[in-house]
Amino acid sequence: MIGVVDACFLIDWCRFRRRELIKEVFERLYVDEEVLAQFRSEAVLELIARWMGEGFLTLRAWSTLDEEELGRLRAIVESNTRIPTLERPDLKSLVSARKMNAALLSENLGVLRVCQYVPSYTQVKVHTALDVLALIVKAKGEPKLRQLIAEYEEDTKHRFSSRRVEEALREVGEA
Amino acid sequence: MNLEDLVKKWRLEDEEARRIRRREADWSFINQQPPKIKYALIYLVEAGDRYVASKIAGLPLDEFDELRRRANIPVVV
Repeated sequence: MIGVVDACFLIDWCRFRRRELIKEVFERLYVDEEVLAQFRSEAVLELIARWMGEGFLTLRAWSTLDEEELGRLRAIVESNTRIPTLERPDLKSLVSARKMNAALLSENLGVLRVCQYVPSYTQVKVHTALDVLALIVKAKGEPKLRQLIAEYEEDTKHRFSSRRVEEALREVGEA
Repeated sequence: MNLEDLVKKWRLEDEEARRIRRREADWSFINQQPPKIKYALIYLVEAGDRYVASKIAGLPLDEFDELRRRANIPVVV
């Protein structure tokens, strides 16, 4: 599987003690250069540089056709005040994931909601960190999802919604 | 699900997330920060949007996230 990764996902994932397990699920991740430009801290930059050196993380080239699609998506988002606003790097990640038929790795509620509502983007599969943890358990069989969730929440100061955790545990047979 | 139903669902999710952020935040740390940082963190507690909060703070997203973690404001997804 290939994935497009956004800024918030990388910022959180780089803190996770078992961050390398993501390679059990994804063959390659793509990142936009405007997403990359947002980083200054050593923890994120170290992970990005290493993954890029290994060929696991790659820059995605942006085209004029992509820019036109971004304009269309921005118009949809801006014309409906009930959809949360999204900034340009988030919109670019959405367009890239749709164009590449790739999963989008994101912790951004606005991104999730665009994909729940905008018809041309409902096909984009958004994976939050919780979804990725569940995919790791499915692919590898260990460790237990409960353990991964506890470690991830501790390392990154996340709180997954209890409803979503219950669903994920059911999915991997740990309910 | 139509937009009205989705908006209701999103509102409930947002309220739950806000309650968790308000409860767990280190208000003493937040209130000791200079105004740009303090109000960026308060915005984050209320709205949960790290990107906009980092813009209010005038910091890169990842540097602002260091402050979020020190302020004990959880990302609720």
